[in-house]
Amino acid sequence: MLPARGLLRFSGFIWLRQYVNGCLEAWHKFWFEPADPLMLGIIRLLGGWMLFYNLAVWTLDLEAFFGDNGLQPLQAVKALYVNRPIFSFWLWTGDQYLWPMHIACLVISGLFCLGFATRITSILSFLITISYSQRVPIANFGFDQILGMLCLYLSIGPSGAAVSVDSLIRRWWMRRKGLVDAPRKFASARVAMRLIQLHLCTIYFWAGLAKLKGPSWWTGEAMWRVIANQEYQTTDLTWMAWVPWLPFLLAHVTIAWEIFFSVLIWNPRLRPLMLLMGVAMHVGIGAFLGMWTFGLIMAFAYLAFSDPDLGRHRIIVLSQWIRGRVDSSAVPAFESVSENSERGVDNSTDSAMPAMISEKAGLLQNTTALAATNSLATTSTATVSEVCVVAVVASERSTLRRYFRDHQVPCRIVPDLNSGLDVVSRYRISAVIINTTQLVPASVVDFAADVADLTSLPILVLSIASQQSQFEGLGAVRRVEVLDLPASLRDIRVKLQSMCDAADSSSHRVC
Amino acid sequence: MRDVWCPDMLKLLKKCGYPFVSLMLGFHVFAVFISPAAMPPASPLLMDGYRLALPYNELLFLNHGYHFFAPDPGSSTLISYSVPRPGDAPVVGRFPNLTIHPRLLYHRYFMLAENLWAFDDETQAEIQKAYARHFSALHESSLITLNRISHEPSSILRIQAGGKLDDPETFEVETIGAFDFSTEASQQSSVAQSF
Repeated sequence: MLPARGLLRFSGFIWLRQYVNGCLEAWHKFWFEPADPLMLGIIRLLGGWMLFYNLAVWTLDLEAFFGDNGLQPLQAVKALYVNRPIFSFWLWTGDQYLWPMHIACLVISGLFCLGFATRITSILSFLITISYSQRVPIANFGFDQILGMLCLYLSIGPSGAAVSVDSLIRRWWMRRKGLVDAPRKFASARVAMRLIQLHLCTIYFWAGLAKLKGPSWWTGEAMWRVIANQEYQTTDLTWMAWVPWLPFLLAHVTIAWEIFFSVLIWNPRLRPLMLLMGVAMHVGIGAFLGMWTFGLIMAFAYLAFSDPDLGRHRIIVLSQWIRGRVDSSAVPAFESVSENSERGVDNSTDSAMPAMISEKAGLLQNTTALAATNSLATTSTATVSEVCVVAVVASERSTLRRYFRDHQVPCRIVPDLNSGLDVVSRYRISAVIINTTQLVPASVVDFAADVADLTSLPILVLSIASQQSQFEGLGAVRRVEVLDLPASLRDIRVKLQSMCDAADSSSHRVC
Repeated sequence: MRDVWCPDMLKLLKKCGYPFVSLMLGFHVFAVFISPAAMPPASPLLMDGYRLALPYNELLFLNHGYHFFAPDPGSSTLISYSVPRPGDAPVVGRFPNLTIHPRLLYHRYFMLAENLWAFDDETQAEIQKAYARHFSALHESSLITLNRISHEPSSILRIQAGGKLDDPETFEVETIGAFDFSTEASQQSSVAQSF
């Protein structure tokens, strides 16, 4: 009896420990899993622009609002804040510093928008935002609250790590030193994005519940009262009086959307719908109630819900499309190489790779064709095995793609490691080639380890000889070989062939 | 020397930092959540939680209710003024008015008229005086009269019956007071007199 009870206790303890560990792991993943700072950078660019615009508008009537004896006298505002931990540098400066301080704030917010010295300017921008808002509490509205919220989180996360002057300077500096720069991920970016997401959920949840305190939101009349408010409206919507069900419906949908936003937004399938409704609502607020600043700043915050990796991918495609060089390789894991994929590829892109991979020794086709054939022979499915190639530089992808295309070898060529991992996990791939140009060595090591965990594929890493020391970590990863660049396609073929042979002999998986 | 203790220090910081950052994040989310939750009517429990997070929220400008157009969208408030001119018609004006551009500045003035009534009486009186001083100075006068105008949105029935949003019946005017800034001493008496 006693041992059985002890066993129960023991199993209960194990279950509890597993449960707690699971919770801790989920917590860590939710808050601290490194994230691409791209979306944070875009939010900074747009939010910084709103901050700059806000300050520029204050310029038009600065003395009236911020003067010691203006519309909100300094003494009266100070009296409001007695014994309260309010920060505003305007509370400690007099009229004599009004314009110099304001111009300095405009410059700082402009630099913040552009992403220059962002670690400093983001913090200063947050302090500027709350200083202006706290100085004129009577003139505040929702826009100021959201701008303050965004600036706070942008100062916490690495908002200058992407879409910024800082990132351009960093890239230039690394190129000058002969190093390569690649997209990095930050735990702090995840924290900032999560904070924005949760804050938005809180805002909508309470905005919805607060509306339920009023009878007019139940009767549906509230939306009409907003529409018919002449001081807000910029477009005459009184025609809705003849379709009264429309404002009533809008009122009910608004409440339902606001209350359930905080739950449904976490469902990946419903997220686009929720965000689309939100954007429609805020654009409506901008267009019909004249509050463009509020509507836009809310919509900008929605970017925190978008997938940065997907966003980066789309930006690459968009930028290439704008430059008239649509490159199908920038659409990883969605389509294989086709005859049309080369159309419009600009080979004039500055890259060392075409010079490094010499097409004259075009023997790789034997390897890859053999790989495909072997794979067909050994797998029960009809899926053709493919080679996954990761290459950041477009011209390098173009070189490899042309080579594979000319020799009827199916392949999936992707511009970054995440897409490569996606391809490896979703498709039957026979081998992986990584060109390390413009990739962070640590990321390459992590990627190789991830692929090795998922599969037993041979991985061929192409790197410049001088940088080989940075790939020491690859030694611990199974079935990885490093090939020095410059290398000919023959070198790559021979290496890949030997690796495939080794893989074939050690397991039944072939390439 | 630095190389020797730095890794240990980093380890220690990492050990202490992670729980600290986690706790801070938990508290921050609590603070953001509790601030609008404690808008009246609220239970004593919510109020206690609100008071706990209040200094933090005020410091970071997070003390907001997010009650947009809630609980009920009411009438909007405007402030009108009249500046007497000897031997001529008085100068009249009001804010917000649609001549204020850009729209963001218009909204700032709108909020000046709209939000004032949420503050205590003493602050209201002081701010009203500031408004009066500002607009009288704008028109180079020492005398000014302020009015509060409530503009009730027209109902669906009124519009269906041919009414307009700016029908005179939808406006309700209430005098705030007459202000005289000719002497500092007379300001006080004028304010007192105005009520």
